Amino acid sequence: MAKDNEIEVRPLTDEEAKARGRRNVWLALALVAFVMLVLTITIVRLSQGIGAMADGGF
Amino acid sequence: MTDQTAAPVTATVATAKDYFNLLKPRIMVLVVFTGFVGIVAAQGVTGQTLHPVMAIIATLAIALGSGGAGAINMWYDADIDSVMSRTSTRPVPSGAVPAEEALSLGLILSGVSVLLMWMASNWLAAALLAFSIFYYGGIYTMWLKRATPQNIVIGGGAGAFPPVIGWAVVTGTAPLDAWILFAIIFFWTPPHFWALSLLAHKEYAKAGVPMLPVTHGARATRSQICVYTLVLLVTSLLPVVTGLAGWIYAIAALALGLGFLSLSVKVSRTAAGEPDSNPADQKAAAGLFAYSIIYLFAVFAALMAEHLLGLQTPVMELF
Repeated sequence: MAKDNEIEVRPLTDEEAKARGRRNVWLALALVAFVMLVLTITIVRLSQGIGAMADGGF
Repeated sequence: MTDQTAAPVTATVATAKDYFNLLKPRIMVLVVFTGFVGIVAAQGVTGQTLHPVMAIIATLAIALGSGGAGAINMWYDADIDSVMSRTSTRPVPSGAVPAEEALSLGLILSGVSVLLMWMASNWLAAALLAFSIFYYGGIYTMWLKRATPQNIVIGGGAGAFPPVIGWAVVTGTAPLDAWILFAIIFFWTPPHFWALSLLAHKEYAKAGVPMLPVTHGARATRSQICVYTLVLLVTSLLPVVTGLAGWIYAIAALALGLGFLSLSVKVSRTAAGEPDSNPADQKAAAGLFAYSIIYLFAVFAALMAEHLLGLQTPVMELF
């Protein structure tokens, strides 16, 4: 039996290992999507700022 | 260093679909749609434009916020969900996803959604989104749902925020027209949910959730459905008065609202939700529930169509 401050572990079954692998792929895709969204927002914001300056708004 | 394949004894075989189901995708569809209509209507009324990419990201932020709130709800309600057969197969009570993971996902999605909203639009839209998540995950789920038979009435406000958020995304403000759209969803929620609760009142009673049919009986619930549907019908015509909507919307809202009222009255004349109700009574309540979903989509679709197609001719200008 594990002590109070230890996490009891056991080997993953094949099915659990595959499921964890799939979850990791989804997590990676979500992180990439988030980065792409931030990049997209930045590009649009910059282009709007440049447009506003060109219109004499700066 | 531990073995790479070792895992806590709580390791699961949860799939992406299980996590997706945590986000309450069917509610998310309605939330996203009404939020998007808010964006479209705000542009149509004010003439202000929003970069299409920003509109898409803002809509995505609303979806993520809805999903985050849904996951928090699933985490907190796992105990009562496991008691009711309708909800016992949800990811947390079924054991597919550990409760703490549902909470983590909910909190992370909520944070990301508010951050994205703030970056893509403005602080008001982000603040409204944050408050709506808190309203659903905190005020409704953790407090109202188990405390009062008015849970659905007050809690309905949580699902009514999307068009206000959408409006704020475009204009940075939340004027009367936006709150009229809020009111339509607010008054739509009780008859929608109570129609379902007439079918599932035994389950709610078993779980100790004080839904109206459990605390006040089916008869009172059927009467309240009629009252709220009537208020909804009147509220749905307010956009015509303020100039937010035109003839097409007016005709659609009136026809759909009368249909809703007709079905509500029909249900009120049945014994739906009573111990001695027959299958036809329960079928009438199920029909009302299904119609209520179509109603909200159709009313908001009519408003969106007017503004997207430039068909919005204020009724008042014709007199």
